[in-house]
Amino acid sequence: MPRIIKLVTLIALGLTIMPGCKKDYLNRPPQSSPTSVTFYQTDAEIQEGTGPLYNGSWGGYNGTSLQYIGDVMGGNSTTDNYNGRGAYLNFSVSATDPSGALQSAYQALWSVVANANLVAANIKGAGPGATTAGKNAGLAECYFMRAASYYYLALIWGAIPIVYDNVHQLGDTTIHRNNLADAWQFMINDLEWAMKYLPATPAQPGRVTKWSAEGMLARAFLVRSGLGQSGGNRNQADLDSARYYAGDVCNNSGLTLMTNYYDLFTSKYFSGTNVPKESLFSLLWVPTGQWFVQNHMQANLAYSSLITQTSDGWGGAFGGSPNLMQYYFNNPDDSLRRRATVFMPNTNYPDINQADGGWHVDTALFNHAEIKNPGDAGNGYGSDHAFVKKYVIGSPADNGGLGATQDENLSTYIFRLADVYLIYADAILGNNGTTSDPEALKYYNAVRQRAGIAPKTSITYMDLLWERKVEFAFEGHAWYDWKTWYYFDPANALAWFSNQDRGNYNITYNGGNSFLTLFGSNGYAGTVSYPITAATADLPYPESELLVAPILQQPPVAFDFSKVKY
Amino acid sequence: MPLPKLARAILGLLTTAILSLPLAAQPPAHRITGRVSAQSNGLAVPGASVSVKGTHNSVQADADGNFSILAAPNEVLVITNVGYVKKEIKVGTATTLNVQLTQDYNNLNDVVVVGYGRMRKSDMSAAVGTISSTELDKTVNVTIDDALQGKAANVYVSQTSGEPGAGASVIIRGVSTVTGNYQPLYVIDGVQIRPSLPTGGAYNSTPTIANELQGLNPDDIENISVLEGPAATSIYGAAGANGVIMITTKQGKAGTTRVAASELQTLQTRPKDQPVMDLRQYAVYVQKLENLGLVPAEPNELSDPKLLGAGTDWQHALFQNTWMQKHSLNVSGGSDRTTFYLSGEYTNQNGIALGSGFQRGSIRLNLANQATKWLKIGTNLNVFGTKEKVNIFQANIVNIALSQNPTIPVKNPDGTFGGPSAAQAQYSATNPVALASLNNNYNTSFGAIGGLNLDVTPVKGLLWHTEINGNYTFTNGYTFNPSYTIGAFVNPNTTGSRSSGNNWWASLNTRLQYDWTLGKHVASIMAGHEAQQYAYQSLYANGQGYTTNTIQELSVASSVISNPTSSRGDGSQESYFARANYTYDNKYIAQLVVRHDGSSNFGPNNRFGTFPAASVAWKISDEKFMQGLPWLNDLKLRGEYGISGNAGPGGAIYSNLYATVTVWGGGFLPGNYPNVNLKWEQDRSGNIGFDAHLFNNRVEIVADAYQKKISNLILPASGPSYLGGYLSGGYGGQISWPIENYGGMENKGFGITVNTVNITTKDFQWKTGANFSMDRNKVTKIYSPIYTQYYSTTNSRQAEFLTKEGQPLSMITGYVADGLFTNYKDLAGHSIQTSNGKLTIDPSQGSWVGDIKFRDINKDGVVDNNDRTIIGNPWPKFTYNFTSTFDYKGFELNLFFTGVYGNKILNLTRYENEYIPLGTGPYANHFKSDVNFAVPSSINAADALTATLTNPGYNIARPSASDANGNARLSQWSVENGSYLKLKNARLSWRVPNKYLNATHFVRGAVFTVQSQNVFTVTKYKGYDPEVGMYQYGGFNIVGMDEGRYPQTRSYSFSLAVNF
Repeated sequence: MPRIIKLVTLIALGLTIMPGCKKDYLNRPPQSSPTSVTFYQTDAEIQEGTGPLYNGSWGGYNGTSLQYIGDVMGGNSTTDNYNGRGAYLNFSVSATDPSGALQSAYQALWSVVANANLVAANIKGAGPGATTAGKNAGLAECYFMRAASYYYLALIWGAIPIVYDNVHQLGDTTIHRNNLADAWQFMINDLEWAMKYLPATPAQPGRVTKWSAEGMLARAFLVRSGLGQSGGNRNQADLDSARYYAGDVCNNSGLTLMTNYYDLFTSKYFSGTNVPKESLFSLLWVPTGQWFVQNHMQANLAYSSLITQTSDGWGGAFGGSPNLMQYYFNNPDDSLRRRATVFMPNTNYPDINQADGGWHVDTALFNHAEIKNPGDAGNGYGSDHAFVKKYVIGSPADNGGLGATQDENLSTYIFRLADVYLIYADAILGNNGTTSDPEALKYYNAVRQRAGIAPKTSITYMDLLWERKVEFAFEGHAWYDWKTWYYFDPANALAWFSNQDRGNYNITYNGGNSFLTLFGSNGYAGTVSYPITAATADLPYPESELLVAPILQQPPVAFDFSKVKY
Repeated sequence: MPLPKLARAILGLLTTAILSLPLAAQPPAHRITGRVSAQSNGLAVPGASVSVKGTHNSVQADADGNFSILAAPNEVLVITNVGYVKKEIKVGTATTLNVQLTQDYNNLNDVVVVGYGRMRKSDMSAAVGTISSTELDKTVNVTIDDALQGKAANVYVSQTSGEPGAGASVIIRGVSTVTGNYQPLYVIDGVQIRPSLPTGGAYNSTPTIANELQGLNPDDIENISVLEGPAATSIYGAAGANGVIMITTKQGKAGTTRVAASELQTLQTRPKDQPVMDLRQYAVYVQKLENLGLVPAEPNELSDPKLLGAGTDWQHALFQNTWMQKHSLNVSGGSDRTTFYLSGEYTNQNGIALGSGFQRGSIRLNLANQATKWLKIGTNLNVFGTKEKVNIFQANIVNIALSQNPTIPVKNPDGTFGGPSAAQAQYSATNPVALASLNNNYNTSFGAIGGLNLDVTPVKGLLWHTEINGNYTFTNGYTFNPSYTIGAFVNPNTTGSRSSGNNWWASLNTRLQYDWTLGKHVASIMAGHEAQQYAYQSLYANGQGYTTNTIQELSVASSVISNPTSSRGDGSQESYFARANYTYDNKYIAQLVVRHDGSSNFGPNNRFGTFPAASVAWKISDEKFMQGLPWLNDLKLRGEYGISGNAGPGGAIYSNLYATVTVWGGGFLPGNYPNVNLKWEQDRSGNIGFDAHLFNNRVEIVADAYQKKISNLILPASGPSYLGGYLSGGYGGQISWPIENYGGMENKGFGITVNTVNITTKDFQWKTGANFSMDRNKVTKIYSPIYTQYYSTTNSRQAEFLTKEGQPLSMITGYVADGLFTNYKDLAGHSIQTSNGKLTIDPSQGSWVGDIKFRDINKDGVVDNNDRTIIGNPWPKFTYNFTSTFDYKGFELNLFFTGVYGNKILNLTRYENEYIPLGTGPYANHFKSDVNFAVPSSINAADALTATLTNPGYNIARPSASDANGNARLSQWSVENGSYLKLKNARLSWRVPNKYLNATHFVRGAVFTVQSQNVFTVTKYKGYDPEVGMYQYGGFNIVGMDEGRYPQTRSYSFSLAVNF
């Protein structure tokens, strides 16, 4: 073949090869998800960006962590030592907590901060279709979430780093813990901003409002009023701020308490977009089968799978603590809250297991004969519990056909109006030993009245503490409320927990004449208490975190607030 | 072109005429017919070339080795065929001639498949291992990754599960990534597949098709090339970093059509038992615990063990002897112009555990057609369907069977499944046999792999080759877990899900190759372009509360169907590549390769990467100074250096939002931290080696040493949790860490293969093959130490693996146990072990006699997490394989041993069932040894000074309800020697002599085979099976952990293969 043909062939072939692909052949943006650049174009999309902040990352805190820290450690709940969770009962939570609740809370709460920061950053770069008002409302929700998470972070771990911008702080290995006071200032700044830009009525049912931010702000000021104080005295300026903001919510928000306490914890009034007016901030779960979008709380609390009908219900070890039970036995009138909080012998719950005519709490569960044998008293076997009722709502069929395994059709309260009422009374009480201030009494007694118990004519700090303990039992409050007290009165707060009965008990059911037998560690009658010290009043950082960021072991430093841009 | 042909004929005629001139009259030629067969086994040598020496008169033997040729008595016939020694025979007067060829052990003329081409073995300058179909046929392989085990040096294959259809972990020259995919690239007739990593091990909650290679029938493979050296892999540039496995499937041969049928029946046996207690032993054990007040009372019947039977043996209930069958048929043949290979197969493997199994049907058609003198077209197409039963994967059933209470019957007298009592139900699991039987979880896939190729040869030496290849797989996943009541264990709710997905990959590549020879210079250049594109889609929905257990579709899920989800994505890559080979005097070889890849995984700044490599080889044996060594047939020294790459996962440059749900409708949250500057990972590696052929080519030695340095390792930049990142985010508010180019890693290793023909006589032949490999892996740079914690369903989150700079990936960490405390002195003198931070000698609140004494590694007076240390290296010091084949007349005996040495395995199953007497909860069964748990003379705090251990000599801690001492800490006691030597396969086959077959007229060949797989394993490992391949867990690769794997067990096979 002539050389020329060969050459032509070569060139022709070369041409078929060389042109390659079109220029955008290698541009392959994700197809099934938007990106931060393509989304957030309108106010509606901003709302779709902030909506998931009400579930999702909170999921790792909701459930086990909320329960172990808030109520087991807070002295409202019994537990056994399965997976080492007994450490929450006896204040010995270790950095490697085998129950995983410590790590889970830690990751989840920081994840809330990270999501809030990233969504805020995305909203700041929102497209031209979004209005300034829409952007500000979205940012306000982000900062509200950030502050809500910091509330827990600060009260659980003490000094923590302030993470205000995850994109810019990512990869910075010099982040120290910041002074605890800075964390509270950071929360206050966030909430003050949020308060300005949140609407007075929720944009959608259940979204946070100006009143949510204001109430939280009051709480932040109230907690901070005790920071760095001792001997029972609080900072008056912060108390005044707390009083101001709480009072505004109490008097001007138009919000009211739910009439019936029991209804607060039913799917009829508290699921999906049904959110009681009393709720200022709740985690709004969706029964979807998606982990952390659904609420898995009931699975851990219900004492029988016959209640849930979804093969979960692992809460046999939990129940009212002896300390809480003694309150109920001493205050039989406080029965509305008791009934909504724990399962007592021989009670009926027509809304649970409706198909079989309602749930009857069998007395056979109680009166354990073998409790008299000292050997049987250990760690959950044999002893009785007034099992947990709150957040236990029965089967999917009992709740509009919604729900499944580890998926209950119910939301979770983080902050409700009753709390603001008690904050208001507390702020008014201030540094006085007792108060009869009519404003304080009005709101304090409003909480009691709803519970069906007699009003009081004067209030002490201990009255408020007990009211919170009972009102919010099993809502994950007790530890944080105790910690608030510990801030300004460590000696008394430590003593109170150190002497609190954390053992087991037996309820002897004799019709109307039931009584409680408390058990000591050896199984004989008596009480069990565990000492708590300043060293165990803050939970340790998870070991896995210290391995990655040993810098957290260094002393906290002051935070430079000029870095935070709203 | 008739003219030149005529000219040549005339010329030939003239030449013949001139040459024949001096001779007397040429005797007339006569027809000679005959048969060419192999001397070793008498089998036909189809396609052998028979020619008359010095002429163009040449014919090819047909499929039966028969030929017919015209030749004169004084002429000489030359008979040649690849793999045989050339034979010359004077014609004489005979009219029939049976020729026996002897085998040539010189394989230097073999053709090796390399990336985008083929090369003669003798011209190779890069490290490439080859495996032929005859080697593959010697083992029973369900999937092609099974077939690779032990066949090539520095290819470390380990099964992650004995579950039928499961994928293997295949590591070539050491693991090269921390979190990414370490699996090699498979190129099957041009179709590129990188199998995803095996996930989950014992407990895989989201079963998916675990092995993308499971649709391929290993019987269709003609040969496999394993590209290991940098000069061989870098032609695949970005995809070559983990090595490349080139698979070529069978093609038809011209001649009579051949039909081959084979039938395989395999009996798979249950594994050896793990030493759990029988009912009598359990009763004694429970009695002891009950006396201590540690467990609730069991039924009274247990009080007198002597009256009891053996109880339920859950292992025997779960594991069964089962059958596997494989039926296959292939037809091949063709004419001079067109050849075809058509094969069909059906495999049905029942798992040895209930609720597992694998079925595959596949059909392959390979066609080749020489359309014109300059145009050749070909096509390969494989269509398959698979079904994989995965009940056992989903529910952790192997572990449940080990710890299930022996008082519970498998079935009640009325035929229903036995279940736990009301008291047991809260703590104990349900009936594993029932779970395995009632659940209905399976995956199906249907797919096609194939391509078209076109060869144009416009002028001699120039080849224009174009290929279009594609791979399409459609998968469906089904789960259905019915409602049931087993004893007191009630599962009132049915749950189920359906998923479907499809993915495709397609490539178009075209290349030009020009070969030329000029005197002693032989050169070849090739340049090409390739575009690849791939995409996937998936759909998932689940339902609950099915109104019936018989119809398992979402349509009958009564109330709740979660939001169905779907996703899709795609990616692309564009590449230019070139290769130049040059050989001088058949002695000096040089090769240059370069590839330029662009990937959609990277942003515009870093989209393209260039991957060059060079190699040289010197056939030193051809030098004059080496000529005096008659025993040395050939010696080639090789050296190579090159860079390959890794494109990592896609999508990392974007800040993806993921869809989630709120009470107000849909919403979106950030899924990951983006990294717009992500770039190519670089693997620089060097290799030196030699190939030697000795003693008439009866000894072949191939040795290679390599070093691979990986930089810009693509991995998630895991940071502190306060920055809110997760390793596997994208759901439930979890944000994935950014993917960064940060880490570094190094692999150094050595591999040698020795193949020998030890004895060869007319009737008897003995061949052996051995390979030995070692690899040392080291992480050289990493963001921060990575602690991978494994969470199982029970109390075992103590399993932790550490990856940090300066040591191999994923080391096993734990505490060091120094025995049990025996008395007060022991306790008082030891570092503090209780979590309250002060020395507490107390039976319920602190440490006590009978508790485990853990070593205070950092000597700070407290035993805590800082005292965890590395307690085992899961990587083998070396691996080795040995095969031996004996041929005697029609019999062949083949033994294949495989071994690893020096690795450690964390036996988590034993940890859970032995070292924590109450670890799996009350009512759970344990290992027999547990009955010897430590018994202190007193458990009264007042006796602290005098308490002693009443039964020293065992390492089982004192059971206690609170475990204040932390006995559940995982220690070196649970780490075992993982070395093993397996007789992986023993096979005896008998080729039926032709004299028996001739009578049938239609059977041309028949082979009977009996064989056994996993015949025996020599190991100190106590678990089911020391072969525990690595898998992905929580985004990291976990190596050397046995958390209740589905074991591989011994099997016995019988097969018959018949040719028609």
